[in-house]
Amino acid sequence: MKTKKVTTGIAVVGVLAGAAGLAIVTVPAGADPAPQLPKVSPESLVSSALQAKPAQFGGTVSATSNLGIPLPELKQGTDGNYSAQVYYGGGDKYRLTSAQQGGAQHTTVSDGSTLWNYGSKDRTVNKLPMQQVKAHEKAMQERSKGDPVAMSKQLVGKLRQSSDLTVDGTARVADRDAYELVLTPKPSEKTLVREVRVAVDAQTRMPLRFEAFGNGSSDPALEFGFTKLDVGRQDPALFSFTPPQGAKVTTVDPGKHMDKLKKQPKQQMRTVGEGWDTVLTGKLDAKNAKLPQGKQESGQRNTPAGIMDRFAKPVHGAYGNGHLISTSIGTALITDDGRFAAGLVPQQVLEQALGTK
Amino acid sequence: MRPTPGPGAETLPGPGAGKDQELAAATRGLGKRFKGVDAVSELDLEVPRGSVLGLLGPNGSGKTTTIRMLLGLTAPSTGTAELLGARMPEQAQQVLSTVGALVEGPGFHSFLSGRDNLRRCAAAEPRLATRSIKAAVDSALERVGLTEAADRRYRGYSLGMKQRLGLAAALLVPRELVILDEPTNGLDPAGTREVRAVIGELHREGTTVIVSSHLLAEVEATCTHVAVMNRGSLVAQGQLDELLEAGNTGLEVRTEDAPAALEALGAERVPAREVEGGVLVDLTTARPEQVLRVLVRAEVAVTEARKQRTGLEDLFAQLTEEGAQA
Amino acid sequence: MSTATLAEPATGRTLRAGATRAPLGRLIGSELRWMLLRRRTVFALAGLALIPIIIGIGLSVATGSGMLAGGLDTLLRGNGLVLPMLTLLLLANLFLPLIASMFAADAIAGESASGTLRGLLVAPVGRLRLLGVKAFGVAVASLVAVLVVAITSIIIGEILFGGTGMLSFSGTPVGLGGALGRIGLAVLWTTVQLFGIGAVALAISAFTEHPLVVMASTLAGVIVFSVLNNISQLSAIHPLLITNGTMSGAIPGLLGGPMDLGPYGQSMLVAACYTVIGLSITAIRMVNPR
Repeated sequence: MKTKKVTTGIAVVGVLAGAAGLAIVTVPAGADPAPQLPKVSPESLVSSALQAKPAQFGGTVSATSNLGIPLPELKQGTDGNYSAQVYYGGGDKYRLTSAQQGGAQHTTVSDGSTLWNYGSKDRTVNKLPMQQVKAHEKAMQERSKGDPVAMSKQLVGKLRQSSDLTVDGTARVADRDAYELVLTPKPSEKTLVREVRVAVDAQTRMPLRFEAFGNGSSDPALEFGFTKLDVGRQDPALFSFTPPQGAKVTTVDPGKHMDKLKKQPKQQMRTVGEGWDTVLTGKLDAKNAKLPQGKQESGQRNTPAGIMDRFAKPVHGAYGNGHLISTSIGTALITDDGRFAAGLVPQQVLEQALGTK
Repeated sequence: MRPTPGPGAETLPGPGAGKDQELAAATRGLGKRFKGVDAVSELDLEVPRGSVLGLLGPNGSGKTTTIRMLLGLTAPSTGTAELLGARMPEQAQQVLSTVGALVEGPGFHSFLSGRDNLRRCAAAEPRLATRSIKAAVDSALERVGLTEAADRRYRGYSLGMKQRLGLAAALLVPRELVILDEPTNGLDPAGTREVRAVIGELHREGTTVIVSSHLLAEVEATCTHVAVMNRGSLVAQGQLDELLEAGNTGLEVRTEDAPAALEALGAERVPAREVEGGVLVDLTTARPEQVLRVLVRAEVAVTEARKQRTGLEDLFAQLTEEGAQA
Repeated sequence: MSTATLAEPATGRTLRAGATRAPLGRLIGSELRWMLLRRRTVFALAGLALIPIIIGIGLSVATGSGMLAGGLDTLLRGNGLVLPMLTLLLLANLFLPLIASMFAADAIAGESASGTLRGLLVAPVGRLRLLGVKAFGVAVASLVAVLVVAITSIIIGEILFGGTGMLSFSGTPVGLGGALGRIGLAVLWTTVQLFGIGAVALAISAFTEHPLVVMASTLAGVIVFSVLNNISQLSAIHPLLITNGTMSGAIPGLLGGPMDLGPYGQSMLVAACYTVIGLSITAIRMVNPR
């Protein structure tokens, strides 16, 4: 009777331990206590972040959107998350791998002299000689959107004039100690954004996480940052690439490529306003009738008309009739005659922007 | 047939002492409740070592539940059960290796042959050395007469063959105690005789046997002791002979000359009456030897004299009358 | 424990005097022989071996005729060792769990139904020991099922698609040894996932005498979990579901260059938790019979 009770007791503990294990394994470890770090001023944090020469690292970057609308374009991978493996080997050496739909992956390797793009989907290699790439550094910044280093740098620089900068405590991100740099739009700004938080690594001063909060929500509307990060020497093999046998290799002339990219938007888009209240306006034409970032294989559902029907609200005003897409941190307005305006602002600001000639 | 296990080699640990050492199985106030219904209650069963006990009772009287508790397959709700001096089910592990059992009918896999089924049982048998599994299986098959059918699938066995395979599993190693739950179920008369022969053999070897049955003849033919259950309770137990004679006070005397016998007995004030083929003497006041002496002295030709017995059937009917009516 | 033996000349049996438990290896051997060599298991495993062949031929035909959309076509071309990864991932959704539940169903409910469980218990095999033997049997049987899939897939993949080694998602060639190592990791992963499901099925198996109840409820559970897994509003609970393993990217992670073992490790831990829970519940039931 005794052993039976003991065994039963142990087994009950086993059940509880299994359940607790599940909880520990699966619940994201967001509840790490904030670390104690020496105080820094926002100015020195920003400047150290801007000047920091990132050490070698390898990690996982992921993005989560919680915009309040089902934007299929942001739903890569599972659960509306986007994630990529990022490795940085110092200098111009890096590697980025992201999953694509249908089990394929896209890999970008920069080995210091050549930028390789490999798509497992069609086994094609795009090769860009670095010299040309460097000449188009601005274009590179566009391409490396996935890199939080570049992204925060851009952001901090631009938003300094219109925002209050504070260091609001500390945080643990990807198991590392970080300062929380907070950008709060000045009260005069009409933006929907309440604040933007950037977690800056206490040791390397590289940005670890970017979060944008809308008014009246405690969850970030956009979150982007490292979920795993190992700072330290990386395997050099990661930063070299040899096209596999049988792969189709194309050498891309980035000059041509970038010119093409630049032409279209320049002709048809302009910005109205400043700082947080900047609104992008323009006119869609039939050729360009795709959402930015829209993937070709997503099919017709993602044409403006298709998306419109699903989650846009019909509106009308001085500009005529149109549709409004609103999210927790931004809105977009598209008129029936093809004009559009978008920004991190409420509807009225967009309407004013449309009226500006 | 086999050497009785040496005293040193097979001593079994257990808390029993004194009288309990002589008992192969004993229960005290044993009871089992299933969903608020007493399947067995207040059972005080005693099975002496070396006996062949017939556990008798109508279907549903609690025999199988009692056996399951004795084997530690189910825990008692009240009371205690001891097997070979070990508390069941707590100390089951210590004694079960010397107990062979056939409970609730033979349990085998239909897709395996008789031999493979038995081999699986043998693998789990603690006291069997791995190298003699084959020999043990072969000899058990032979003992129950299944050698020829051994490699056929169990699925194709007749009920009797299945029953005999179950018996073979109980006989894989020498046992101190063998418990057989309805072993002749489904057997033809020849098969029943074989089972009886096996039980007799076990008895001669000194093995205690508990046989449950609802068939009276089976128990009467093979048992030294009997326990009768009805509605979950024990209504009688003891040596078969004593039980059969208990409550009877008659001596049946066969004689051609009944009037002379009656006269002689009457002279000695021994009450008697004439029955067909002789006289029936009331033994309340006289002992059988006395009666015979009287008759011999009176020169009455006695061809046979025996104590009057209740047929087991009558006894069973008496004991379970209540149950039969319900 | 003394295991002095006494010979019995009459029967040729040798007895282990005073022994109260059969050797563990013998019990396990007997269990495995019974589980794996019974005709139904052999048929099930043969059927399982056919699936990679069918999938392989199907993919090969589709690849040749350009019927496959982008990914798979180029993934497999000259890259036959990727086929085991694909088939394991496909079969880990439903087919392999069904087979694991079959083994678990036979292990306790099946033995209970045929009456052989009580035979083992009065032999006696201790209840926890019996649980250990049963759990081990289910684990080995699951591994065998996974190996059958993996090995047929390797052979058929090599025949139909060729290639020595593997081409990772990043275009990095992986040598034959590395490729087999990655397949080995996939085999291990699939087995651990199956054993997680098998342990829960074993717990169900301990509560019933009907093997079909075990298979049906395990299958129902797997299907319900898969449905929950596809409801994006419930994404918060997805990591808790063992079926999430096949969607978590654990196996695609093995095809990366370098391998991404994050989802792999995570889903292994989840499966381990299911195993602990399943086996503990089975133990509770085993030592507290009705």
